[in-house]
Amino acid sequence: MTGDPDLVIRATDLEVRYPGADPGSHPGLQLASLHIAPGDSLALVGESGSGKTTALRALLGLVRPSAGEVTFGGTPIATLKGDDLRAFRRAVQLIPQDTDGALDPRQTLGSAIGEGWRARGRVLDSLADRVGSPHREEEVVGALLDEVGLPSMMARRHPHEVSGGQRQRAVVARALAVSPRLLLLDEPTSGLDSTVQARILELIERLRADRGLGILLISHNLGVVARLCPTTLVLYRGEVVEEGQTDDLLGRPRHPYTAALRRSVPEIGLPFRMPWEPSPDAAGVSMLTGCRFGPRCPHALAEPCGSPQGLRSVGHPPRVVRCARSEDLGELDALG
Amino acid sequence: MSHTSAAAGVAEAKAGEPLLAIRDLVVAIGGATLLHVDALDVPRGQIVGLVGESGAGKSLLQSTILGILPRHAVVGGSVRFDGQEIVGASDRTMRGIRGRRIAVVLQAARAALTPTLRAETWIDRALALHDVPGPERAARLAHALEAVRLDRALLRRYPHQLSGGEAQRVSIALAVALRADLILADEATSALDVTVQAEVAELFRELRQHEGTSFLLVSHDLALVAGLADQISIIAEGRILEQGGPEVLRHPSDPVTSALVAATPALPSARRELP
Repeated sequence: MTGDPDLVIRATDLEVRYPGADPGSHPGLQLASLHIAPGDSLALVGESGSGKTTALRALLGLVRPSAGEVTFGGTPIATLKGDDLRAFRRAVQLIPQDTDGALDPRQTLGSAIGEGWRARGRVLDSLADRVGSPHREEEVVGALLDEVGLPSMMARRHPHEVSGGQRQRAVVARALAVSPRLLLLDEPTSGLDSTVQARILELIERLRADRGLGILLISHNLGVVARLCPTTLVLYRGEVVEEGQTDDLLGRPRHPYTAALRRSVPEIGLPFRMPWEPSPDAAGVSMLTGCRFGPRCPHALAEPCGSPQGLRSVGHPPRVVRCARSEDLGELDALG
Repeated sequence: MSHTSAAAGVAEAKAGEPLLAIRDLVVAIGGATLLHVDALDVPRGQIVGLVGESGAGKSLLQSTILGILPRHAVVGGSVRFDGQEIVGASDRTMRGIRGRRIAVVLQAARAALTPTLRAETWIDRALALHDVPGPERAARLAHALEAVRLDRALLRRYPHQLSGGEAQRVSIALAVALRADLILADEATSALDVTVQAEVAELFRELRQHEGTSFLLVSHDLALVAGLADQISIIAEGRILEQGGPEVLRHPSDPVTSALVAATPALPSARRELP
């Protein structure tokens, strides 16, 4: 772990149940443990409904866990109040997927960025202050726009007057206005062209290096994940199925779902890979009583996949895998 | 020449030419030339990929093919669909082509459906609007569902009850039921999970193989286009910069294509299981 322990966000045995969910069903999210500190970079990947966004909302304290807790600097975030809660809110900033919806259409970008900086002045700021409080708001906004690669004249523009990539940069500048230490990025480049995406990724990498920011990235774009995050957690139906070093995990997956994700991503110069077929035994595996991926798994067996799967550590470098067959299956073919 | 052999001659001539042939197409709006395509073909039964950044002219080209440009747009040149000129064609002619023979599958599949109609009602009404008689509609729908591997029970649902991938399949099922010759797929898999994207991409390949459907696949996902398309065109600032087979993305000759390829984040190289 790197960085100041007071700025570590940690989830322990976290469970979230969705309102109205059947009591007999699995929780919407189960995370054994997860922590991010300034300087760390961690990715959560998985398909829609895997619990990625729920994890992010739980880490921000926007949903109440049904079990376990999220702590910030060792204090449960559910108990934070007043200045402590405001300090947490400033230290942990969300970059949402829908940047169009994240900005007030009637507010200029400069006003939106300046608002965060103005609000910061109301509380004691014990965090490192990169921009410098003695400056006028206009100068601060200009410096933040410059930091994210936008010209200062953008301060006068409204969200509808700029491109998607420029909006994304403005949202990052607004987050930086309160000197955060951790950025939670929810699909930060979805909907952007590949060249615009590349520039946003460069920006995020630079901010992490220059400001020592911690990054939690949610994405289904494995190329983006590989570029930004050395560590990856793969989620499926609310639980972690594999965790390890990103290059190793995506290059030589050990959980069948990770392999399925990897082979679903088209690559220039490689033949198109057909979606996988579940094994003949897969239909007999119940998602409620056995492996959750079992009914779709190309390697499922009636036994042992019919019973609940625990996380186990396998291989070198160590990989955490939730699959009873991980030793038998070894490193999986992500290309075939 | 007898009437029958004349018809056969026309059919033969049609079969020899691409399903869609664009030549010297110029589109200007408000005095600015926004699109200038010298030549672009979609051969019968092929998938043609069109890649480029936002603002390159991809959507404008599709709107031109569909004849849905703003009234003040000035269009010159030729777009021939199945041997018929559609630049300047009447609204009546275009109504017979648009939607029925040239279908569109959009990124926001759920938004393409009508929120207050069950999926099956939506498809049935669209078939009725295109003058498909009642008894035939059921048969066409059954065939389309089989072609896109969609469970009949899902058709009882409203759009908000469908996942993104399911809504996309409903949208494609309508194109199949209408027996569309050409599908314009505009970022049709961009909003989908990678696993669902792979399934929809495979569906496109199946439709090309089994139904003979042609595709103009518009996407900014170079790897997807490289994996699916028989021919690829790269467009920037309204002009086609480069055309060729999938190898054009592996060995680009134009700097814009090279920049697009270079901007695609690389995946860690996958290794096969050791023996």
